Amino acid sequence: MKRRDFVKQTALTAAGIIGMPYILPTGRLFGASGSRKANHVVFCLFAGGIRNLESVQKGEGNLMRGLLRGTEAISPDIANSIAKLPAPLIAPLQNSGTLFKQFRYQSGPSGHYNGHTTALTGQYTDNSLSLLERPSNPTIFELYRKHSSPDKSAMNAWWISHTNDLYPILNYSNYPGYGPAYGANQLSPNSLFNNSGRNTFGNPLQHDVDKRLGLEKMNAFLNGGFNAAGSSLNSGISNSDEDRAKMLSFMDNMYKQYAAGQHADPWGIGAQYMNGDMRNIFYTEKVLQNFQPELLVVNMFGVDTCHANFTGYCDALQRADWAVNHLWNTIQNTPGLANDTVMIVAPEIGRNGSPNTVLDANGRGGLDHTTNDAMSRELFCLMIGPPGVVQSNYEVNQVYGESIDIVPTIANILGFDKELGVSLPGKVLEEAFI
Amino acid sequence: MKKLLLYLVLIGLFASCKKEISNVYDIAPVNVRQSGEKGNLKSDLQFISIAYSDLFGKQISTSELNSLLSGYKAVGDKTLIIDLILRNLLVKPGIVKIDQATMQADPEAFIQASFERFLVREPTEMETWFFANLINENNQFLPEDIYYALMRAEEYRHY
Repeated sequence: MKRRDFVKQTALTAAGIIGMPYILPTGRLFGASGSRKANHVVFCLFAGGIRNLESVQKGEGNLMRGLLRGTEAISPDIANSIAKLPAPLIAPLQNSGTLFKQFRYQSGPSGHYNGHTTALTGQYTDNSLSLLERPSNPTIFELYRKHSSPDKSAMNAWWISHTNDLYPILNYSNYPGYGPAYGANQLSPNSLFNNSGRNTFGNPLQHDVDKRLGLEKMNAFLNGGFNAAGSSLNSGISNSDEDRAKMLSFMDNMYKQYAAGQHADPWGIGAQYMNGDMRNIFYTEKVLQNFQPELLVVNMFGVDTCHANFTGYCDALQRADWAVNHLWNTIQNTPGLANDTVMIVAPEIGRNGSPNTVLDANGRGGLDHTTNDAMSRELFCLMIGPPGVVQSNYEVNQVYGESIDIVPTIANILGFDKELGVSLPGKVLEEAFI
Repeated sequence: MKKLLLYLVLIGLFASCKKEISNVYDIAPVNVRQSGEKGNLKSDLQFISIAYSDLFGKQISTSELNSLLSGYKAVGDKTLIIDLILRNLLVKPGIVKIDQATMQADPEAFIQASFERFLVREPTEMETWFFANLINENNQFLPEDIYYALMRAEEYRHY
């Protein structure tokens, strides 16, 4: 072979190898920028303020049989005031994962909004945090959407909040260079899928294909001739037209099922047991089943009744636990998510060591959450996932892990932790991984 | 005595000198706005309230506004939820509208009235022709479809 031909062929072969796309087992054309541990993360903020005393330490018996092993009886003075739920759907989730029993919310005011903001940004807050403003640091949604490769649409990132007050604005920050372009699709199902919502939003004007085309022409014509003189539409996060159509179809289905009575007792445990947390998890399951997002964060809040009702707090804890067990079962039965999802469960803050003066019907004192109370900073964290990824049936009993570690851990699972454009103070919770 | 009289005259002169104030009551010039001159974005609350008033010819009640706002805050994609709000309002009984036959009989007049109602301006000749043409081409269009098109326009989000 002539030298010239040899050089030419070698160069062509090298170019071919470099340019050839990689077809991965997951069906991706190109690998993500970093190595992924799983392709989906669900972060369940078991929020509202929970003490380790009633959760992992089982001070009132095992109120969390969906997450924790054990059959410790519930304290007799409150047992009769707590709902008799059926047994959790599947085995305690700690069997499938790693339980950090001494997790910490180390710094910052121990308010719910501070706790949420810390969990979603990986940065502690201080007293300057405003409840009316978006976070001043990028949220996990923005970090994921901006630094994942290839780019991710908003349909891959969801923030399901238990209420439409305060918390919806955690779907993106006002940090320069991030913001709505990288935000999550936020949904507060309990404020949308109810009787009032169905009457208000459940019967929209419909258009067939011909009409839609005509309307699009009108829209393009009107917008083409309009000069907004510098102002821009403040529409929050945005989806493509195709994704919006999918979301509208999803909402339409939800309203149809709601109208047909299918959401009254969707889990067959008795409609009287379905509280707001359970409904929020139920609609989260619907989002997961419909869209299989790569990143979803959902919160619960029922336990905060503890300020004035300790027994109600224990009852809400039990219901939330039951719902999370159901959520994991749904994930494991959803094609695309099963065996490819890591779920992280953690409260945002704890509660005080000593009760306040408000007694409930059983004579138990309520619990607040005060910044200078050590117990308000003691949490647990459970991470469960595919057997080859997350250590199963493993407990970490010493003080290990903080709220600010969850964001870098999610970034690590989804393979973009090395690509972050901002510095995060937390660490990856390596202890949970194989 | 003469000096005293002189002082009194001078004081009287100064005291009586007062600038005359004239009030003019006439009509201030008002410029008719073109579409491109709407530079202010309506707040979401304004948008919902104005959309309701434009459709129903009356102010929205507090309970109806609360229902709409509750759903509005429940969805992050505001373009999506605003579209849903509009399409739901457009099927509610009580909308002030003409019937389809009247629209089809004189689409130009319908376009004229609809632009004035929703965009607070007259349509250009080009706009009248364009919309009338689409109405003539597709006899399935209802008046509320055209209202929907106008309310979806970026111009409608501004004032």
